[in-house]
Amino acid sequence: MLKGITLGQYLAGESPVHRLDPRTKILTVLIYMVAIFSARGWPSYLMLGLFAALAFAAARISPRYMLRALKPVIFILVFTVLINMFVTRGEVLYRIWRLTITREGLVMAATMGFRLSMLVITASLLTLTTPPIALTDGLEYLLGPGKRIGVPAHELALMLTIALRFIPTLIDEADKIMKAQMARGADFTSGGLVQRARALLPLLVPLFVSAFRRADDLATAMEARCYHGGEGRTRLRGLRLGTLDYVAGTVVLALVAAVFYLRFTGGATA
Amino acid sequence: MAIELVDLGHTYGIGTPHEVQALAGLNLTISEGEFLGIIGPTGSGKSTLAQCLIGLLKPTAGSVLVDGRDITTPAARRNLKWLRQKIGMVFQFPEHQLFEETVLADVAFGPRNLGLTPEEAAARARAALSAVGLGGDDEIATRSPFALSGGQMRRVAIAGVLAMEPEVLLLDEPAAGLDPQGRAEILDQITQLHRTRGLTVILVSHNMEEVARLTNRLLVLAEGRLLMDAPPVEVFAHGAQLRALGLDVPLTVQVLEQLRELGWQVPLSAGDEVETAAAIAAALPLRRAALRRDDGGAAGC
Repeated sequence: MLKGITLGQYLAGESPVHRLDPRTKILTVLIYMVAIFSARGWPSYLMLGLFAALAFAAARISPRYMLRALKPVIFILVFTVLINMFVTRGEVLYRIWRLTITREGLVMAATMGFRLSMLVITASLLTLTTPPIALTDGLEYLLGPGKRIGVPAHELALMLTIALRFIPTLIDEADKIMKAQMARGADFTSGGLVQRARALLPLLVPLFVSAFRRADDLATAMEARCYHGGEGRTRLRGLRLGTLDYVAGTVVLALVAAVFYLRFTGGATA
Repeated sequence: MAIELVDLGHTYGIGTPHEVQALAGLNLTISEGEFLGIIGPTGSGKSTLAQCLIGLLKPTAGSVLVDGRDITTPAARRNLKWLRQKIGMVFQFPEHQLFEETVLADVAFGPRNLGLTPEEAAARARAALSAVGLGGDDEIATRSPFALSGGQMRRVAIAGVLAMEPEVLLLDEPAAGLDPQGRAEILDQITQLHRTRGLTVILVSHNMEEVARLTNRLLVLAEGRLLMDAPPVEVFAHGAQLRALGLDVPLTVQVLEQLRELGWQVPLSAGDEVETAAAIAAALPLRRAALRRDDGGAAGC
């Protein structure tokens, strides 16, 4: 009954976006986020929006996924838009009871709504087109320079990889334990909140016990194969930047340059 | 109590690219007091069948009748508590499902779920513990189940199912991963329960010796279909067919097979060690006579 949970939201594909180096994609998303919050004036937003749309098109991912990505944050999105709409001072357009809508408020609300949506949509494009393992590899590499100041880049990436690797295993295990307890008459689906929480005990205790046992076994297995941390470790699938990555990087940098140029020169309104 | 399977079939992930047909067109009746064995290679549908039998899985085709009641209809599936008292299932590595603070409380979990009072549940738990050979020791009942040895944990877990006093006991590899002595003890106790209480036992196993010795009827599953349904002696007479499936025959049958290759006139399969020895003994005079005849011919040269 727990089957069918898909982990992360990676959609396997062969598009140019899928083929990009994970580092390129992570950096692109980061730079894009900075750009979208630095942008001023509608031409900048238009460019940024166009870029996101083109990226989705290049990834051959249906626009439905853009909307789906927004679903979990819809509350925050609406809240932000409303707050900005009502509390920004300026030239009053409408007045409803004690609430006023100002011209500046409308502009601000639209801006913030657009910024947040683009933030979520581009981040989702990253996870839609990058397998979780590639993502952690990319993160490890990017955090690499931080090692000198004590950032445990390799360990963080390893933890993420192991966690991702074992989620399906644990789901399987939970499914088995659940069935075993149901065969003993356990009821996971009825009763009030407290009763349901209590009913989870026969599932959670064995699940944790087995997770610890697995962790122990894994540690032994890793040690038996001489694992000694990230020092001097090579990879099976090395990350390599290709032409595609340079093209994508150039486009993004050009975009950001344009956005900043507009911000400090042409950006007159908003 | 009888269990009847009618055209039972199950397909996982219908409508997805991962569609797998695990069971198809199963028809059989399991009657009261049987000791039924189920063998089959990995992925042959044994676990799926077991889960359909105890109502944990709703089959996608056909029906399962327990005492004439269909347990696959939506109405029946809404309340299967009565079924839990009829059929108990011991999963693979059942010690992984222990969770309570004391052994007694863990064994009493099932009976408590049936709505018994704490006293009644505890009484049943004690009875179940003694049925698996842990009764004499009152100290064990108050210990944490996680402080027990592997074999003891396994027995506590089996007691947890027995405490629900089912009429049918379904066991999935109950002796897997235990040392030879632990194996023998667990299987002995199951046989005892079968003999003394008339418990119907369904044993899923990969161990051919076990099923040959214990069961009186054996099902062979392959790719979700019922390939054979016969007493073990008859099933194991089809050694070649079983080996083609990735299964094997018990050692006793292997001995008989090799003797036949050497020209002995022994049956292909003869039951347990004692019966096999008797069959070989019966063939011995014939073999002697044959050898004497050969020797006579050789002497003529």
